[in-house]
Amino acid sequence: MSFTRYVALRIFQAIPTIIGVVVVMFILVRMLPGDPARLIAGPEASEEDVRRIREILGLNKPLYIQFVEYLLSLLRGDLGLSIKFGTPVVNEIMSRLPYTIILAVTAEAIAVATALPLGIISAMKPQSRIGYLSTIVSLLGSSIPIYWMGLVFIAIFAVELRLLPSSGAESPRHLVLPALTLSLLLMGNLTRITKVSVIEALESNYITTARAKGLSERIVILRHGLRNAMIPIVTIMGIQLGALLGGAILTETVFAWPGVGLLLVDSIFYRDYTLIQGIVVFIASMIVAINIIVDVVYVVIDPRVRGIIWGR
Amino acid sequence: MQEILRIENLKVYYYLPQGIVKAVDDVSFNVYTDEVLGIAGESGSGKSTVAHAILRLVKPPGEIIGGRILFKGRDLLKLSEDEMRALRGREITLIFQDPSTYLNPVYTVGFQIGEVYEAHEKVKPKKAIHKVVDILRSVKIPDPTRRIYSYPHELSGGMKQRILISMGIALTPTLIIADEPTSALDVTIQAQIIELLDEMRREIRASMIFITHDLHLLSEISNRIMVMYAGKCVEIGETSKITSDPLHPYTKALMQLLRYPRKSKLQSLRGSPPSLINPPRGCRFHPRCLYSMDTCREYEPNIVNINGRTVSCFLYSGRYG
Amino acid sequence: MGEVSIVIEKLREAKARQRALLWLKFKSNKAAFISLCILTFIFLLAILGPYMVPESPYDFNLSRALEPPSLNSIFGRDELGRNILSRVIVGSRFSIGVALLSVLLGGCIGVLLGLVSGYIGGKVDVVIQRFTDILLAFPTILLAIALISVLGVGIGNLIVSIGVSTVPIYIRLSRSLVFQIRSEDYITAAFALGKSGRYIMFRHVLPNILPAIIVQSTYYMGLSLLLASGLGFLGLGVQPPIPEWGAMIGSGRTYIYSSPHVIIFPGLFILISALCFNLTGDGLRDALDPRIKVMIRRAG
Repeated sequence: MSFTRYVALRIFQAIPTIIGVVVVMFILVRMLPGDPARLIAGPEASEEDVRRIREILGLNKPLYIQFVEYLLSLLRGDLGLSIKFGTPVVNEIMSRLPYTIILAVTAEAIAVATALPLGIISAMKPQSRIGYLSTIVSLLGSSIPIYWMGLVFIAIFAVELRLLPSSGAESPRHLVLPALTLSLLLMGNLTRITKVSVIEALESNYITTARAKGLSERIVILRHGLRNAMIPIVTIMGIQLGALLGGAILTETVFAWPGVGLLLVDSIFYRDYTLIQGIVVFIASMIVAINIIVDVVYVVIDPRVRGIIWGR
Repeated sequence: MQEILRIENLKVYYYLPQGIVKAVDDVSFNVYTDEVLGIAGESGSGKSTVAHAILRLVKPPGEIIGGRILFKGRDLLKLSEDEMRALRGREITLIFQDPSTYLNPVYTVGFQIGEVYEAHEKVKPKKAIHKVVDILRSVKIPDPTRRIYSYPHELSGGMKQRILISMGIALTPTLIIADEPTSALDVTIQAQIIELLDEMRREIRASMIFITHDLHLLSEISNRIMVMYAGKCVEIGETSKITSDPLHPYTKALMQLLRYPRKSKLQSLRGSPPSLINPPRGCRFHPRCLYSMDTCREYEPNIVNINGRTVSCFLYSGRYG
Repeated sequence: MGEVSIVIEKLREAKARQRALLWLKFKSNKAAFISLCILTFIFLLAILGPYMVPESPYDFNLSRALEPPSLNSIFGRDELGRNILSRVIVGSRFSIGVALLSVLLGGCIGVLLGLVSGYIGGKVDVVIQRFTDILLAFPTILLAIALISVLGVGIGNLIVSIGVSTVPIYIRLSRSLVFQIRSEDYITAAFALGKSGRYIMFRHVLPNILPAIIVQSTYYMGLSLLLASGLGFLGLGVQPPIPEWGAMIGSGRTYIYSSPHVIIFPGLFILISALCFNLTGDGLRDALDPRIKVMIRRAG
């Protein structure tokens, strides 16, 4: 099948997943304790007021009708109105999304710039000091509580040394600590995957063939080894980027970085149901979309998969 | 006939946490111009390791720890890596056994063949297209001008092996080492590939070391045969003589298997190949040998020359120690 | 009949030998061995610690608030004057307890579903897979947060939320392990002997995927700990005055400028525990049969 058909197929397959996400969120939010209408109306409101608010919000209609209406409004790109702010949920998300994206991309970039060389070199010389270093990095990356690390960084750089700001997002300098903290987490995973992929690639038989042809060691490692090792590595990078959208919650909280994650945490404390629902559906959809992109990239870079998909 | 390759007392050991694997333990043989030397043996006999050792492709934890490999008079073990690289793929080539894993899946076959020219004639693989097409034509791959853009996974096993063969003959080497080139193929394809290999070899007047566990093949294609067992060479001689009159008990057993594939297994070859970390004391074959004597348990047999045949067995050396 | 009992006896001996070998190999990995010792210590701390604390973790003493570490209180005191050492010790019960229980919960449900999904296949598999896809579309934190915000805060709900968040991970894991085992000969043999699907699943497939699952669970316990304390940090987990490590960091956050010691020690304990879980998992994986290592690798 052709390229466009493959993309279309993946999108088609993803739709039930997204609908499932909406269903789950819908049920969860409806299960939240407290009556949203009453909460909005406030403790002094009369029964009349509460009933009116319920009507406006459409909460008095049967559940399945609410669900269908929600789905339809989703198609229009309407995620409802925030209970706390009164503004469209989409607007709230969009105003904060750039911050999360900047944070995610920067953190991923730092992680890639460190983990890739580290992983590659430690794969070629596993017993060296660099090999040792990469083991430590991967270990720490998967064991450190990021919010704690963030606070430690704040304590060191913002409080003691007064070098960098500790919260907010006014200037590029504000990006340093949050991105650094977040990247530690990514680095751990990425280093491990890189090292494993490179080792596996270098142990493959086609490397022996390349050497037997008389190619220089440089070409053997770069052209044959790394090119193949990159396939799983790039896939992981893409997935990480997707997970970052929702997973940066802790980092954003520590550094008061005004991204989508922080918005979510706040909305939970405010019991802002539409906002919670909207954010979660949005993030999940983004992740599904990114996973589709990763799959497509995979098809492009691995000729074997291309063969299976395109049936050549 | 000139001698182009002489191996003297080659030792290749693998240093594993479980112990030292003596994959090749004091093996000597030679190869002359325009001949095919077959190396026969079971898996683990060390034959593949010999092939890798000649091209110095042995990687840690393996190490060539002793002996000389003389190619046209030069000791390959004394060459620098650069000098060695100049030989690989050009003067001595290696054709591997499993084309699925020995070809890189992300590059076209045309590119991978072109790399041979890149390594030795300093042309970019893309510029060597017509040379690649010519080679493909000579190994009888249909529609070569289109095939060069194929990826390995798009080709059948036989075709992939032809690709490996074309890499092995592209620069008209002096010595071709074929390490079980047909083991991974269907029986029907095997014959085609063997024929092709033999034809190509003759055309470019190269010598060939043909490694396999398939005795039929060896008897068909090789001029001389070397039999290996547990890292040691047990017998070397002309094919016709070895098949008609095998001297070493192991060779005898193998030849019986050749002639009566169903019966002989029970009679002449009992037991299984020994561990190479802790090989049996004395002659490595003695636990399975029908003719073993007390000496065989104590001492390693020395090598004897009988009418141009080389045997390593106490039945012929007459004395021990 | 005597022969059968001899065979059984030999099998038992072989199993005992295997286990001894595993322990020996594990011990030889120093990092893993030390980690296991530390983990045992922390477990003991969780169980016995609360009976041995110098002061109650709940007694507050505002006059001594935010006291830095001293001979009187080794870890110092928090914003309400409580002894941080006591709180960390008692907190181990909650942090480790939540990690353990949630992994057990998620593991039991997830492995069961994955087993069924992988072995039975067909429509059941498709349904379970769709369900897993939906759950996996959420980053784990997000799912846990969403669940907690529905169920409300508190320790029980925390365990349930994290447990449910790990269910899809376990389903994926056990399903891919089952796929690797499905085509093995002994399964086919059992099937040919007429054994029921349930019998094969539980007596043949499950015991063979269990080692790999146990190894992965060690890692998941570390993840679960980080997740639980993360939620605690956000204020969504265990509620004050319960001294959960993450919650301690969360409430001590505002005092970072003046008294960093409030957050350093709980965080250190989280770090060390997670580290030990990871190293123990590595040691366990390396000490096992290479076949199992391959299974784990192929299961992704």
